[in-house]
Amino acid sequence: MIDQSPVDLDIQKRDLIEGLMKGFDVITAFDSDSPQLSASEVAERVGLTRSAARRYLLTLVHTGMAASDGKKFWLMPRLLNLGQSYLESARVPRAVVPFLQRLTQQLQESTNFSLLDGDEIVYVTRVTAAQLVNAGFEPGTRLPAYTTTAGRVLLGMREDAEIQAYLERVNLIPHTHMAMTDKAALFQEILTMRRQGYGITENQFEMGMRGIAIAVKNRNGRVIGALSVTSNIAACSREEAIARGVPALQTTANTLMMWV
Amino acid sequence: MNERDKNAPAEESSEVGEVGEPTEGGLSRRDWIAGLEKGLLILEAFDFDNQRMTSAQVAARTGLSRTAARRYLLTLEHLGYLHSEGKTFALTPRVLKVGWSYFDSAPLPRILQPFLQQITGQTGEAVYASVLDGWDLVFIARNGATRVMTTGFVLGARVPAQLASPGIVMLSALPEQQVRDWLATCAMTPFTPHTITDPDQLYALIAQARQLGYAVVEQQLQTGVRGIAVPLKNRHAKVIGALSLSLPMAAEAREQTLARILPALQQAANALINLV
Repeated sequence: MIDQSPVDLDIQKRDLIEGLMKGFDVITAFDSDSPQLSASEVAERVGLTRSAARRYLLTLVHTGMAASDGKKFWLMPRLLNLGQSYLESARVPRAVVPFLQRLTQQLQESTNFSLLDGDEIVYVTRVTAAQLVNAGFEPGTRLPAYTTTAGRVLLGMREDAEIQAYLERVNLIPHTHMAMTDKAALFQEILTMRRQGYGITENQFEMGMRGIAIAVKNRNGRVIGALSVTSNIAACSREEAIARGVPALQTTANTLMMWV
Repeated sequence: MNERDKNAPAEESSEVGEVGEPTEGGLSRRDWIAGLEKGLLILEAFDFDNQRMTSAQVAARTGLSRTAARRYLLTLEHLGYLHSEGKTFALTPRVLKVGWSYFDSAPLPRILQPFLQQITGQTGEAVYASVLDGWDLVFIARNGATRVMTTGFVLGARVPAQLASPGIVMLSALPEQQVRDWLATCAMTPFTPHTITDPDQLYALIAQARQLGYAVVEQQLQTGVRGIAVPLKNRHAKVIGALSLSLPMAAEAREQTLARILPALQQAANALINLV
């Protein structure tokens, strides 16, 4: 249910609704580099004719998910409703909240629950500690799996061949000057994480930040996601962080196992 | 393409300029991609009370035929937005990606973030930015408190506008008759023993916010919680959102809280006028 990629279902081509499939491409064509797009720009990005792209956009405007000044189109907050349907209907993101609260209280650091969606790590729940600038990831944040501790820990739960295939197809972008960019080294790190039962990384996504993560399994032994804690490297040594963080994460994962 | 797509005229139809307002029936039928609208409708049909649904249940909730509903469900499953177990379907975390496209593209939440951090720095409190979507308020940016840990509202969470201070302050910028008409017809669920359900009383609160330029709302959604909000205006004086924070009432008297909080909120809102 959680860690899945779209599989080839036994589905007839004629059963697929083309309008819906292209529609999602139109929505995700908008990003921070192009918050506003014209119909022709969308057409170019998605591979539609201009008039078809325009009809998709007008349908989105009609549903309140986009708006337009007559020329350019942009996305509206109504779209967030879709994400909310997931957060409201899926049990796990809500079930882990009290566990994260306890963990945050114990460690005085921000904690997250995340899961893999294909090759991306998706953060679905967060409890922030009392800090001026909140560490950790806002629910809904989506990053390439290799960038974060939780992502690497969850990759480690896959078969060796799968991890290697992932590393072959992915382009490792260094988010900091200290980020790991060597695929062989990353593979070894992922295997180490699997062997020791937790992962710790420093300065990989944001400078000065440390992540510790642990995989969470359910009663059937299936991996359902990861617990992670994000903290400031300056606050304590790596050894201290492990000595304090790992047992707390482990206890929480053990308890969660009985609940999810 | 579906049936409607194939039959659609190839030439350009109505001018794009006519379609600024997302009103009912504002879209000409030939501009309509039925597959997209219905697919989005299906995703929204899943919620707390309907976490897993069969195609028959989806059909009943969306008004589609069972066969049509099944085709949409299979398409959504094919795309990875749904997974099925036996006959029931449930949403996958990929759905978050579609919703998150708003945050990926919209500049407003990004512009607001440092100002929210500044407000937290000055007050120690968790602070939120929200916008109106219909008669709901939607949280689009937030920053946690420096005093206590927070779960709070997640980004994208929606609340009926009349129940929270940012909602009251944004409603106060709308034409009176429009708000009154809505209050007269909307279902007002009491969340606490103090929730105002009388339209006139509620409108008095909105009118007061208009007069003051800020809103103070107590125990409408959660018992023991007070919210304070100021409108977020752009340089054309249009109210585009609200900045707000909510605090436990027991810790401080109302006047004390206002004296401590309001200047920080107003200062940020003023600074933002030229940026949004």
